Amino acid sequence: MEELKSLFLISPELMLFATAIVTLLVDISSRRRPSDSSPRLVTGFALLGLLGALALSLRSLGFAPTEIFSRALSIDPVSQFIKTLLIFAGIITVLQGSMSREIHDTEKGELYALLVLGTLGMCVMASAVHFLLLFLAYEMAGVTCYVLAAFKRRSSLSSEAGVKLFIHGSLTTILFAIGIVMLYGIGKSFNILDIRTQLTSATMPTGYLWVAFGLIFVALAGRLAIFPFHFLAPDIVEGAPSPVSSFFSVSSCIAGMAFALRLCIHIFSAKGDLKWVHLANFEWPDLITAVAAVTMTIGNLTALYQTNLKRLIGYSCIAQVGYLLMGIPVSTHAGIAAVLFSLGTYCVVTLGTFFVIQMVTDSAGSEKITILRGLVWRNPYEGVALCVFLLSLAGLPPLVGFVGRFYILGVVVREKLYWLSIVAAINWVLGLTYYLSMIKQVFSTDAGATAGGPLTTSANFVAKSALAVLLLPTLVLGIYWDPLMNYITRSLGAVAW
Amino acid sequence: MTAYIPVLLLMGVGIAISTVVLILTTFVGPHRPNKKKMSVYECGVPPIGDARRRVSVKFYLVAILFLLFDVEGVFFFPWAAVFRKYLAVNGFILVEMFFFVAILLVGYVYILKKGALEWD
Repeated sequence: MEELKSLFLISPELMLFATAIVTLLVDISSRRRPSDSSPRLVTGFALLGLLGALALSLRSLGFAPTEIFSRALSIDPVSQFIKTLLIFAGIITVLQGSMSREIHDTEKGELYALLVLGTLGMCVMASAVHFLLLFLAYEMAGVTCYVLAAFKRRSSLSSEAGVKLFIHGSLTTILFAIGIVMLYGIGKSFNILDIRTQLTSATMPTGYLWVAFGLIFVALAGRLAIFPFHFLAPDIVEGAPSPVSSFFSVSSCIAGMAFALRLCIHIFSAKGDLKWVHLANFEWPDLITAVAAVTMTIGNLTALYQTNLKRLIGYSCIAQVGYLLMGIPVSTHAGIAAVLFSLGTYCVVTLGTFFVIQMVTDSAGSEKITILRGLVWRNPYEGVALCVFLLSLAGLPPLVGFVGRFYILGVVVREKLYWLSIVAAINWVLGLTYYLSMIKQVFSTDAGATAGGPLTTSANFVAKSALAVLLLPTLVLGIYWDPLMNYITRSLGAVAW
Repeated sequence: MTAYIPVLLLMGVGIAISTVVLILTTFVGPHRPNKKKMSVYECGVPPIGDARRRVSVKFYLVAILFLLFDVEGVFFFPWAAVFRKYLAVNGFILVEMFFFVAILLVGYVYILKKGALEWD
């Protein structure tokens, strides 16, 4: 019963897929009476399915590392952790979608189905070790993002975002395919671990490896929105409806980091004790450190000029990904554990930020930073929540953002990459500038600041409890992060990478 | 490599025929234009209006939906090729194809209900 065991191991993905199908079917069947266009039933089914997938994913955190489906998927604690993050992000973005005013009630079923299918693609991307499956999952995640970015049909900004993402994604897909073929030629197999065995057993021409790595890095950069390919990300975050911006910034980034780990650690490094050693003649850490440094700096510097709230957060997400990327060239167990921990905190905090920002932009009808004026006096709960999330993004103790960034900076310094740590420290301060200016707006008591009245979108119990669910890890893990860090370090030790 | 010479020959013949015909029509063919012959062709009737009109998106929808279901049909071919061999091992291969078709059937029912196949 080999097949049944494999199916049991991918139960979160199967549940996600069933959720998408059921959401679509409920969506088309609940429109018998045109007057009854309330999307409650569809939302309920989507959330129920996603919660089931989350439960299955949490249960699967304890599975022993296995490779299934002819060694195409690798189910190990780290990939299941990433999947849990992805499904959690899916739940919050579906909640955001249900509360969004930019999306018409009749279209919400499609939104949920696409979000769930995108999450499914990213989950498969997180655990795929066969290049063809990785390519397919990359495409699945990408295509759902193209459609989601252009979801607001009447808005030209949204269509522009969709077209930009589509053309950009097509380019990266082509280059990804060429990179895969090059690695197939040299590794004689599509399986990632087999390619690694080939690369470590014989010395390959460095130029060839650089070209292959560079091409696949293009695909990675497209998904993560890092240095050479970050140009379109803020346009997409600005143009797409808010739930989709949140999905694109958070889930896409989580899946991208999993992809980065597969690329850098799995293929181009050999396993040492408590660390992964890059191939002798192929110094990929140099490229990744340079890209991380440039990404951080560009993200932070450009964010200083922004007047549109969503663009500002888009640029801040680019900078955050730069911080995360710093930990990968330091390919020790501690480094990768720090990256995974920071990934989890980035997920929760960015979701929270987008959640509150969606409430504010939907209520104010505009996206300028000035709509935050006096938020804390009008809606104390949302204002304080936004301040907590922004401070965590800025990396101030005792919030969880500080812990993650401190760990990454710690491993960078321990590996003697001093120049990178100086760049990171400068960027830490640069980031503080715009986060604190946003917080200043939130607390501002100018005349006219409190005239707006409380947010019209915030009287919802579900919204408040979702914010509480996001606030809890931000506050608690900032003080007591040991259990999570130990869990991640243990899972990293258990995987057979 | 020598097995590909017929392909090269085929390419060469195709290019040669089209080039030669074009050259012959340009230089050898008669050239006696008159007003009626140079006017725009619209199925033999006098042309109505200009050609700069927005084309309805329904053509694109039909083409894309056809493409999707045609690709589904393409996936049938390799399955059909190995069907007989695997039927002897286990009847599950038929059930697998049922799952595949069922998933795409959900998509079909979705577009049917959403009215993407309505022509007007």
